[in-house]
Amino acid sequence: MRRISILAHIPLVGLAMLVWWVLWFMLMGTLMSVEELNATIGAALHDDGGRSFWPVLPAWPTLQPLARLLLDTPHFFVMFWNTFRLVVPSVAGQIVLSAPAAWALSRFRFRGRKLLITVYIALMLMPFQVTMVPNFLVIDRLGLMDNVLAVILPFAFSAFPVFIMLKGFDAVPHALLEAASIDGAGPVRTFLHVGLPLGLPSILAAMVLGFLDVWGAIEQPMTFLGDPSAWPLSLFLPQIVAEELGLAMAASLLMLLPAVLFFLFGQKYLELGIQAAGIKE
Amino acid sequence: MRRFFKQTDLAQRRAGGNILRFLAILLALTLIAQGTAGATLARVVLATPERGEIIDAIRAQATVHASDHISKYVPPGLRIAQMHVHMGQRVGTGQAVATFARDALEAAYIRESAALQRMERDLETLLRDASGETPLETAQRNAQRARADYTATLQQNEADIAAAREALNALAQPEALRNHERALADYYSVAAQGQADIHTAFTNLQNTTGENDIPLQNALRNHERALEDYESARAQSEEETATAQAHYNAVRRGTASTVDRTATENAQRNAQRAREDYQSALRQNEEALTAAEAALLTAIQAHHAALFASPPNPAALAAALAEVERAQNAIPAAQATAQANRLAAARRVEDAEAALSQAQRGATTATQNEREQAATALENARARAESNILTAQRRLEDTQTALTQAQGHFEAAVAQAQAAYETARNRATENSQAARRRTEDTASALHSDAQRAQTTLQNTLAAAGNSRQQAARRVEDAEIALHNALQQAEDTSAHSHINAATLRLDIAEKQAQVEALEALLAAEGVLYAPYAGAVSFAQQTGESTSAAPLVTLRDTYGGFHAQLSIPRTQAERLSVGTQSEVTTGGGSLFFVPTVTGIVSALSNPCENDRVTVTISLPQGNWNEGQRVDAQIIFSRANFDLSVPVSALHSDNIGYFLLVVAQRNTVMGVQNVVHRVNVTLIAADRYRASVMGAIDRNSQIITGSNKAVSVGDRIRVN
Repeated sequence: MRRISILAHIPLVGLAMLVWWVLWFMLMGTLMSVEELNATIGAALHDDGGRSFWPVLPAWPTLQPLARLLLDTPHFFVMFWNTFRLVVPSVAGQIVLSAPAAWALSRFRFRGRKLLITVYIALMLMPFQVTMVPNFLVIDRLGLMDNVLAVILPFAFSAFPVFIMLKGFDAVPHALLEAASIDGAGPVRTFLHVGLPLGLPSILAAMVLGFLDVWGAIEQPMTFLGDPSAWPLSLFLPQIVAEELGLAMAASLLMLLPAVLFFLFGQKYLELGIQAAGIKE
Repeated sequence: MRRFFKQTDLAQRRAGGNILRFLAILLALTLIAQGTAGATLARVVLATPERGEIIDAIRAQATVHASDHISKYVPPGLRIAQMHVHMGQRVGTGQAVATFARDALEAAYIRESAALQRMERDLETLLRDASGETPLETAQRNAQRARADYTATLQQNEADIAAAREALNALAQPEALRNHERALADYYSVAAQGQADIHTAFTNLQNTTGENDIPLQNALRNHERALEDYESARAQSEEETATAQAHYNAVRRGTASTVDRTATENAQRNAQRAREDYQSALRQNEEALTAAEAALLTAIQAHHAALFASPPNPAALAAALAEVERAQNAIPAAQATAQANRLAAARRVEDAEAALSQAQRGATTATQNEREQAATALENARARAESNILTAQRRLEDTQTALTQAQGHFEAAVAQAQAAYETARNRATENSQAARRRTEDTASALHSDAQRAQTTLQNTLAAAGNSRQQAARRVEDAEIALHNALQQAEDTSAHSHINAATLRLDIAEKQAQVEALEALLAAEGVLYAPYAGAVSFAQQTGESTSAAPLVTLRDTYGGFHAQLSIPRTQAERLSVGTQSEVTTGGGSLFFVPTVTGIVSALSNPCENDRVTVTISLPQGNWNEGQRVDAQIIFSRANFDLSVPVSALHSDNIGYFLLVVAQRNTVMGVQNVVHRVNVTLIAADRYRASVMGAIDRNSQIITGSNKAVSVGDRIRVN
């Protein structure tokens, strides 16, 4: 692979800075006191007129917002664990329900298969705002309003993981399946012992994407969860007023960390999954 | 799962480890945060609104005093030989209180008796009037005199002013005014006459200019015409002479044919020109005659106008007459000139025609006769030319002379009319200025006399005003002196009465002292208690008496009162007769001894703006100096919703209560503080009655271990 020259790094670094500036913005905001935040960006928040600016480094760095968030904001942690209470079952449900569905769509040929795949794709493309009202009616009929299952079940039955895993399972060689069949393995055993291990990259990719999707979900909890004690972390920031901007910055940083860590964990499989989706046999 | 972990690489395992560490840290922080949050929650004390009685009252501590006390006084200067009572001792009526030294008692008796006699003598002296009304009478006389002077001054002033007015009126005589008016009318008349004369002279000037301009123009036209004739005659003569010469030369040379043709043409042209000149001369003659007749007519009209002008102007009339004569003389001259011109023009025509016929009869070859004829024609042509030229020149000279004369006449007439105009203008200006000066003189004379009289009148008025003011001031001073004299007389009289009354009182007091000393002497110097009571004050043995009481007895069988001090603002709500509850100490948890008293007196506010309230107490076991709690109640009412006063808060918006409500928060169901705005109806020291969005079940914060604000999560104590 040809090495990129030093000069070529400059525009790349510039483009990267455009992306990372937001993160730096948030990190420095975490280290600013409320007074400094009001002095720099207060004009934009309070609509009093004047100019706002964002310094590269804080003039009076302080850990007070972070300390207040970590030590004096118990409801932040409650919402944090509420988020995990939503994410883990959702992701697990996606894996348990979408993997077999994807294997079936990938390996079996039956009438209406392509139509079904098309339906899955159409469902995947629909935004939440389109399906919100039908979802609301179904969940209300099922009596699941104000219940965490109202958020978990729609995510578990999501179409997007099926699509990701479908492409991954398509990459499994037929020869292996035939060999397993010759060895007497049935469809279930073939799925469990051949399909799942070989399709693991796509499964993990779907898991990472699903985690990111549920972790940042705000519409579903806002719509279906009326009890504040069940609210996830995505509903913590809207409660913060402009006077607690430092707290918002620190909360945003902490909210970002799990997603980053999980992404780092599944990055390799995510890339493999995307790669596999792009290869056609 | 084992297979899964076998498939992961080091980076993945590290990332997984990071996730687990992160979650562990978060778990620890969760526990710490929940622990600290719970520790920092404020603990509050709650109460619910309930029906309660609110008493609007004033509360203060009071001191009990006995209402009646009697002090016994003795004349001063007595030495106490023995004091038989002491502080706090109860004495009965008639009990010996003190024994005085006899020598001091006798000396005091003598001294007081002498003083009494002296006072009585002073009273007699004071009652003797030394009437002296001199200052008052003097002041009255002065006042009368000042009033009389004022009246006389007014009368004198009126007379002076009347005299000054008469003098002013006398100066404004009708004769002077008439003179002035006459001079004014004369001025206007002279000015108008002058303007009329100027206008007439100017009109004459214009007419003269117009009238004399016509002959001048006519003479000028004649002269121009004569000049044209002269030039024409000369040109024609030269041409004829040249023609004749050419013919002669041709005849001499034998080229008559050419010359004849040329001569014929020339003769034709000359004949034609002669005819035209003749017609022109006729027209000129007619024009000259017409102009002369018109000038005559104009002169006659001007003569008529000058003849009938008003006022008559002899100079203009003479000028007009001379003009008429000139115009009349100009007509024959014009006729003669016209005749001469016509004849000359006719002669020229004949000659031109003769030359033409001769030229037409002309032979091809000139003979000697023809030469002679040609020569003769040439000489004739030359003679005619000279004659024509001479005639034209003479006429030119005549017209020149007429023009000069006309110019002279014109200039003379205009100069004369101009001189008459200037004369009229100057005369009008002089007359107008003279009339104006006369007017100013009469006006000045009239004004100065009037001003003198006016000044005199003003001075008289000013002097009258000053004298009147001075007289009025004198009257005022005299009246003030009279008033002061009256006041002084009254004061003197009142002072005397007051002194006499005071002296009588002193005499009575002294008399009482003397009688008391007599009584003591009669009792061998022993003083007995007039009433029973407790001794609250007593002098000691060996002391001398003074104006202070010898002994004070408190009547313990009478009433007691409680005195308390309250701010003036609170005392303003009190009045004598207000009920008061007095609570003594002691009692038990279930019974507090309370009696009802009546406010009997309110003192005036003292320096620290506090008022002493006296409450009459009913019969009871009171002690002098006892401390009690007094409560003066203004109103007492029951309210449905009353809260402890500690629950009531206020800010710039108004009163509010902090109410606890359970809310569903992220942390679950928690007690959260929220604000309820209320209206304060009544309040006392303990409870307050409010009105607002609260009911009997509302949990109101009445106290907390730390500051609590709206939105805080709290813990109920």
